[in-house]
Amino acid sequence: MLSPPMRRALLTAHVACSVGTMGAVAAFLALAITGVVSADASLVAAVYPAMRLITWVVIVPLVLASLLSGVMQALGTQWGLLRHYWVLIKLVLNVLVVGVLALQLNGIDYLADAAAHGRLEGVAHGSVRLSLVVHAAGGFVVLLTATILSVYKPRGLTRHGQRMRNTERHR
Amino acid sequence: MVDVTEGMPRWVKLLAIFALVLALVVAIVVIGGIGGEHGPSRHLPPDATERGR
Repeated sequence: MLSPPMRRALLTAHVACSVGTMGAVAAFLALAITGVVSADASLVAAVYPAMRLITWVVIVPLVLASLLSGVMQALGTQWGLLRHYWVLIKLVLNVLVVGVLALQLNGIDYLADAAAHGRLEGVAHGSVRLSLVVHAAGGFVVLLTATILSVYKPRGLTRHGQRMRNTERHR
Repeated sequence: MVDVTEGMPRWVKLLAIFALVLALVVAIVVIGGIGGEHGPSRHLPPDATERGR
């Protein structure tokens, strides 16, 4: 088990990374929507390199740090990783976010390169641009759900959690 | 001491139903082609997929 000062430090890091990710995804979503709806070609051309920067410098490190600090926090406290439904669901949601983000990286890099070389027109590009809006919006909802679970910590032990509790009672 | 076994909480069941419905909608969109061509190639540059043909 983690010592109380270590637990608090890790919790602070986890909250900062998780909420920071949500803010960064919100900024990314605003840029992605601008890229789809704006009629200003120079603005649209500037949007995709900015999205690539936000993705690689802010979102990717924060998402990974959030997942890592969350797992360490769960394993180092009485909450456990698989004992409570809210912790387990948060883990699933975070892994889902990492997976979907990994699938979007090629598209983001491609659009940033296309914007830099003035090649943003075309049906295929339009599909990738719209895809970024849909996935960023979905990601934001998933991150919001994870935040709500963290704050409310709804009750409920998994089967594994109940077995652990019963074993502890018998000791 | 008697072991106490609890069922799955209602909020987890509701969340599971919501996730299932969402997965179904995504499957319909992907299989029905409503969201355009899906699959790994969707996330690759268009000219990269053309090169592979």
